[in-house]
Amino acid sequence: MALIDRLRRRATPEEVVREHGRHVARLLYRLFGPGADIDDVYQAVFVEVLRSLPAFRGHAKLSTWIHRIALNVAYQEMRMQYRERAVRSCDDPEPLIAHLTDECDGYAQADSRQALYAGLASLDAKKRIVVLLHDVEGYTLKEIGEQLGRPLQTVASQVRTGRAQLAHFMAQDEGEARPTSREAKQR
Amino acid sequence: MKPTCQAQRDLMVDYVFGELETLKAARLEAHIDNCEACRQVQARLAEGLGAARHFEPEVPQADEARRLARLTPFLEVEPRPARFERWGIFAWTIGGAAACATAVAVFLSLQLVPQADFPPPVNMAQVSVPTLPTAPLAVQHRQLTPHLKAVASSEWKGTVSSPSEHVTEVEMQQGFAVLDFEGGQRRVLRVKAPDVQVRVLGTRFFVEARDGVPTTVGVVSGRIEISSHNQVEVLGAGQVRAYDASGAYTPDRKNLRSAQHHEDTFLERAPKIEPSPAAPSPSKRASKRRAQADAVDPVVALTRAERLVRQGRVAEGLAVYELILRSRPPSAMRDLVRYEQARVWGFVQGDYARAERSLKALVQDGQGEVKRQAQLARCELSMAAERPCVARSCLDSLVSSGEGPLAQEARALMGSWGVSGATCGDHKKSEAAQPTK
Repeated sequence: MALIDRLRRRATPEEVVREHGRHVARLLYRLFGPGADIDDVYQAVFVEVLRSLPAFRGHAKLSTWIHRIALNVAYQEMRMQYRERAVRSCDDPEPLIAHLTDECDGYAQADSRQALYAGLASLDAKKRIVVLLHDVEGYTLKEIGEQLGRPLQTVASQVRTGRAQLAHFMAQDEGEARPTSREAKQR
Repeated sequence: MKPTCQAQRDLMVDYVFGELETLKAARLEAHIDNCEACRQVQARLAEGLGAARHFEPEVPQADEARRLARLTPFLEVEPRPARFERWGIFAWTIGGAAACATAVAVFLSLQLVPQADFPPPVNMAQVSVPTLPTAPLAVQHRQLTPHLKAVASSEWKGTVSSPSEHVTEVEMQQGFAVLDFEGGQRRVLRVKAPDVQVRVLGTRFFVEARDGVPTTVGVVSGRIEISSHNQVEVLGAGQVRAYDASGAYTPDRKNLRSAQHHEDTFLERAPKIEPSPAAPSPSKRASKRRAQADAVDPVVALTRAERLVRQGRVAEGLAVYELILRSRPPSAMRDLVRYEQARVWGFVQGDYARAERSLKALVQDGQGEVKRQAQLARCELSMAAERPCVARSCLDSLVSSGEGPLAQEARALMGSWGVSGATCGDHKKSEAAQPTK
């Protein structure tokens, strides 16, 4: 009876956060880059998790479910960042992505990983999350399609164009103007 | 940047991951050998992607504690205990077995226990259920405010006020009212009745508040939010709830039927009543929206009318036919409705003269199948009016008109009635002596 009670008992919110918080934080760091201020996204993920916890039916593992929520919240955050990017310019006093080397000054001083994340941050959110999941997290196209609810062909196309745009943004030639996202898309 | 650089950079990440075809990879390598810029980009990409892939972020304990502290306000609510999925099969098995056992026990008890020992049935008259209005409804379509309309009411006592620009409040002390509120643009309607408050964002609904019976709220279309005894409930179209001092419950089926009856009544009567001329004229867009809301789907309405006639609610059925005709349906639908209406007048109500007039007009200006049926119906009407010779001459004219389906049907009807030409001479004389009904 004690065993059944223990099995039936659902973890408290605090236990959920303690158990899965580290995994979520690591995932967010890998998605947003080293040194990123992930506190707000982290909070948004767990607020969503705790809010939806009563509806969790146990069809998947709790960790899988939380991972998917974290991905969705991260994607929303990326969309917001990209929108902010569209309305701001390098002349703004506040740096756009504070944790990265200021991309407006170029990537020359940044290490390769920071430069990569800055390049990823310049992609629109749809491509950014797909390229991150495929090329950084190592998921297959099929797995990404299932996680994000997108068709396989769409994911493949987004990876292809995202990679091309990333390479163009990473190109740092002397005197070579970095193409805007729109220009890169038009190629 | 050379044009070739641009093309090669599109493929660089694929090259880094070794996913490029051999030929393309060879071309890219040849290009990199000769292009310093692209070589640097490729090296940077490879380094960055490699570093990102092997990036294992450290999560300091202090950060974890800080984040947990930020989440404290959200941790206070204890989640509901979940259903335990792994025990679902056992639960279903045990539940099924229990249900079977109960069914067997009930069956055996019915077999074994004599009928006389059963307790007397509950007297439904003792159960307090709200009664719907006994006083006749006054359907008025009165515009109370530019966005609030009283579609119908009965013994209604209440006040209407607008405490702010977007909020309209109706305080209903007694009576029954069907209100139609046009929502949008942050407009809200609040209805206060005994034991219940209704928050409306744009819909048609009714409220009944009477002494000694629970306050009843029903939704005709849209959704409303009701709060009563610190509990909030959202009602959708077709739902009815009663609220008294002890709480909320769903009235019995009798009341639900009555609610349906009210809805029918509104649909039938509402378009006949024009808005009050004193009412402020709504904007063109609002008028259009309201007109769309009041538009009648002819097919649905026709089915409803037929159902009403079958149920013996002939007057209501005829009112629905009239409503369809007023909504200016397509010509084929209009002819069909006129045909059905004439049949009800003639064969159900016995108003042969009116039916005959309508069918005659339909034969003159109708089209297609309906026109053919109207011609046959005229003959049938004569037969129903006990004028067999008129019916026969009517059928004769149809038979002689040609060999089409109309003539065939007329011939079949003539055979089934068995009206002979010999009997008509006498009958014509007697008919001449009798006034037409």
